Amino acid sequence: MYVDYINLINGGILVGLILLAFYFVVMNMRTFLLPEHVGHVVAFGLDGEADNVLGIYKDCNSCQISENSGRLAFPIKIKLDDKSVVDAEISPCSLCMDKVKVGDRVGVTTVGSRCIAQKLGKLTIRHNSD
Amino acid sequence: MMLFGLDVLGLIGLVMFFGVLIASLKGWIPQDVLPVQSALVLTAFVLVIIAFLFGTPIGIKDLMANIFLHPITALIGGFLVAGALEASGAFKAAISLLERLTKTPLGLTGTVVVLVNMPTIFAMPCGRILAAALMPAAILFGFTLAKVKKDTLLASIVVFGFIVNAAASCGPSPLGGIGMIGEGMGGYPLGSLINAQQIGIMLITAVVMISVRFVYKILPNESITAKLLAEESGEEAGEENNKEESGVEIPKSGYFSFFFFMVGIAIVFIARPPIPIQTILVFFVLVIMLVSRVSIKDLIGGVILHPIMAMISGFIIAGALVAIGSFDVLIQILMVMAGTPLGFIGVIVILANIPTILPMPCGRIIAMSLMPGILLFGLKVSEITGNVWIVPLVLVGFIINAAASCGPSPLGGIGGIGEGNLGTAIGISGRPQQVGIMIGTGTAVLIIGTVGFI
Repeated sequence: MYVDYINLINGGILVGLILLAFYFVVMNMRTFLLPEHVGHVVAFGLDGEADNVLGIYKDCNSCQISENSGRLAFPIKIKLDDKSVVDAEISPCSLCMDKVKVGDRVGVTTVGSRCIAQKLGKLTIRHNSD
Repeated sequence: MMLFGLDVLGLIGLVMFFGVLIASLKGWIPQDVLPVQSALVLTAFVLVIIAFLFGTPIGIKDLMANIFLHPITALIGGFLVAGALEASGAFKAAISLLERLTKTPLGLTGTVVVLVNMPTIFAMPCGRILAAALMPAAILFGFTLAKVKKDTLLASIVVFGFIVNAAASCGPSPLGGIGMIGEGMGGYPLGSLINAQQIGIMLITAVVMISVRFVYKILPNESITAKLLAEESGEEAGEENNKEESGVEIPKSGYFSFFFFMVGIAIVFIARPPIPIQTILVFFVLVIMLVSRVSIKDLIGGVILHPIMAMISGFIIAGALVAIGSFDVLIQILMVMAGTPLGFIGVIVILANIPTILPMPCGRIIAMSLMPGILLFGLKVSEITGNVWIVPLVLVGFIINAAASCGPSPLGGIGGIGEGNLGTAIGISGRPQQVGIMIGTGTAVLIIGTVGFI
């Protein structure tokens, strides 16, 4: 009986993680197909400087030097279509693989407690914010 | 239908698979239109249609049969742990501890050695987690060392050493790492391949650093160097004032989470309790959440989805390739190659290094896709030679190579993080990384071959 309870717990955890996986996949697809808001990247880093360090690499495809100690994602400033500027985060995967740079059109979606930025795909359904 | 003794359908699958990888790398398939993961899933569905036309239909069950839930759930659990550690401040605590380490007899140089190997010690499910979290520390220590030793090349050496270590660290990760998949497929106990990989990765790191120092000499951008060194001087002058003014304290929960995780994982691998790793990871998450008062929302937003999608796409294409017999064709081709002066060893060397030859932005893409073929070839060679260690040899070589291959990938590899931060040309760190990875692959294989599972 004790073993049954343990197996039940283990099974429940596995099912829960599988359901979480579905949720994450759906949310990921939402970030680039149907984002909550859309805008342009204006800056990377917490300081919000418009360019890379010293403005040399305006087209730099990689992350900037940032005060980003201990965080999994990189801070990014987005100017939405309604002219407001929001702080969001972008994953290191998206930054490098999607070659995100200042000026790129991105979508912003709230996932959990974070605002996640993702470069817009060619199939993005939603192009207007609010 | 046969062509030169090879099943045509299987051959088509193999050609299409490698064709998509090469086309993606060459830029013939624009990645902003069709990323390689999506291209592989599309290829799987095209193969389903082709198989139907050939009169050997494959169904959804055949495609999905190769999706293993254990690695995916372990990966999700691993990311939840990473999110919990981040939210509790554990990574900040790690950086703070590194700074204090410089004041011990280890000194700055010794601390740098710990720093560049931190990703493999911490072993998160994706190297980009620590690449992002600890990059400021790598920059700080790199430029501090450069200033102390009056050699700016040291900054590049530290950063690229750290980067390649981070890239490879998902191989030995007990939190849903690529190695776990190989262990599961090969039927080996959890953790069998970890130590060999970690030693191999430390060698990869050392080789990359040495090759940057003596061969490639990749200097950081002068403007960035000047700015950072000027910032360092400013910080030293007003160090005390800055610390008082900033008032940034790392919460005690950060230190607790860091040590709890390190000790917990160590206990798991020493005691090997009969509990699934997913349950253990969820337990870690719950404890960290309770102590650090982290909410589930904080965790959810921190999950990086690319590795999960990469893994799933790899599994799907592998399912298609298995179903249409592409791996049987691959084994036939490899056996023919083994009949040449290359021999079995030469073929194994090429096979194990395929991920670095065709580097994808996430090592899981090619790892999941080709793992069944690697295992089958290993079994075949093991059967012919009578040597049971061939299978783990081939597996560990392929796994460590695949894990590290995301570093030099031109499709947005982790190397780009280091290049961007140092202001160097994009792609310049690819060669030193590939050299290091190839040597580290051989080392890991040698360890398994001579010592066995350590």
